[in-house]
Amino acid sequence: MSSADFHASLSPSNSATHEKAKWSLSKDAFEKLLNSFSTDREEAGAQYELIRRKLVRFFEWRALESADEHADETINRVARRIDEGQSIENLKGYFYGVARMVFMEALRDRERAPLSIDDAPQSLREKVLDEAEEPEARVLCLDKCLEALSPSNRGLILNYYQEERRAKIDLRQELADRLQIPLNALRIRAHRIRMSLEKCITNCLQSDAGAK
Amino acid sequence: MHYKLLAIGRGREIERCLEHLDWGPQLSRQSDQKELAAQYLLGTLSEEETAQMEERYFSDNAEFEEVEIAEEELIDRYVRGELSDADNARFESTLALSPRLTERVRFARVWKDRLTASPSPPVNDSVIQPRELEKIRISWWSKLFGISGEQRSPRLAFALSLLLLLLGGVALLTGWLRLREESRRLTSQQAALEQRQRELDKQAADLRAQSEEIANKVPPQPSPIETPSVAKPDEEPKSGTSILALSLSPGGTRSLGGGSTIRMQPATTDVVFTLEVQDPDYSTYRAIILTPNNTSVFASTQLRLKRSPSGPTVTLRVPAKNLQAGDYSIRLDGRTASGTTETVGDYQFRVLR
Repeated sequence: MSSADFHASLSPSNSATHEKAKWSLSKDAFEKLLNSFSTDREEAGAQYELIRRKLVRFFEWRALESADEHADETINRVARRIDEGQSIENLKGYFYGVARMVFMEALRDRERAPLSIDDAPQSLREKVLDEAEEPEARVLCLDKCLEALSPSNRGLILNYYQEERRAKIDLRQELADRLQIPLNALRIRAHRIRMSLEKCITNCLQSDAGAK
Repeated sequence: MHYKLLAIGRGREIERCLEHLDWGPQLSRQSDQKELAAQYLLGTLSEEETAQMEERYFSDNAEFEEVEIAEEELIDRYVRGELSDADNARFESTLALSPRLTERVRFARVWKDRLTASPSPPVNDSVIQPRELEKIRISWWSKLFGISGEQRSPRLAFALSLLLLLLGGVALLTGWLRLREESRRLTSQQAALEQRQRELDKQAADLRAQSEEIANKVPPQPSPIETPSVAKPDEEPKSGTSILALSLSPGGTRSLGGGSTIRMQPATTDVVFTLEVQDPDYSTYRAIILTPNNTSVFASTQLRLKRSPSGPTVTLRVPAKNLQAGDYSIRLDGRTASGTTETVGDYQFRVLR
């Protein structure tokens, strides 16, 4: 796909609202999208999940509300091009390009309709409520999820995030030395454990809320 | 721009390759990247830098993970109040629009409290993941006894404990086997003794039966000296007492059993002497029992003569207490009608106690 084609496909005439009205993601189109990631079904699924995560983060880090919706819109547009038979060499780069266009459109939409205090997004209201949130359930879930970790992972994460400033650096270096891995590898490992811990807590809180 | 991105991408790969070779100098570059990622998240990068960052993490998964980690560290700094006022405000503006980030901040707060409340576990092998342990292939013997490695002392202590436990177990087993053997030996001995006891009982029963059989065949013989209590119509024998009887001839003696010796028993209360009288012409008789030095120990008068098929006799009853062990003689005197006394006979006997 040439650069001209790329920009043509993302021209203002193809606005998100307009495309949503004319085209929706069919099962067949989704299959084609997956195949464009990989012929291996599992690998394709994993890559799809990852690109979606990147898209959501992109819109969040660009301080745009409803990041999930924008991410899905981006995926739909790429899927449509693939469904129409367009050949895309650099799929990840193409996703990024489409995401930038969706972002620009969203920015324009936001400028046209500025937020009033009453239209504050749901997340902002949650943040206000956050101060009054009872953290007991979260603490209980944290304990449960820490227990669910393997002893080695639990030990690692508790040690990794312990201490302050200089002592923290020394402790992390000691941990890395003991594990015989570079400090950055330790950082990544701690991050992954933390992500799994946070996911566990989210599930735990949801199941608690469901039980109530 | 594309060439620049390519260069950045390749540089990243080279950095990763170098990571495992020499990662000391990597720290400063890493720190720069972290700072760059933090600035991207705070929205302080130029549009061009922002786009470069985004292109990198869209095409490079590791780069994306780096930005995610930077996000995590930014959240921690925010929760700990380590951000400047300006950065704090920028971060909060992003935070306000993202439920996911809000959730992460909530976690970070609880996590910070948790880490503050509870001390960290000691840094030890427990932080090594199973995969890491698999890589370090150490024989079970080395693991056990810690010939190499930093955890020698605890392993050695464990190994010694195990060794002591094993030795103790062996000693206990040996002791138990020995006791079992001893127990078996004692049991067999007891069985043999019981068998012997049964045999002896049987023998004793046989002997008793034989004895009874013999006793039944042989009539009972009176004792040569002692006779059972002599019951007289006018003298009721006291319970548990006995009376001895002895017949004596003048000059010599002739006991009931053919002897002149009396064996006194503790139960003997009286001795009855039957004195054969050769001259029966006296109206009454007097008997005096004398010791060898002629001391009288007993005397009885007004004795009457009795006539029996075996001849005339005078009976003399003497309390046993008057007769101590020794030789005695009985002098029998006859009293005539005119009142004169004449010795009619002497009788000898001996007392044994």
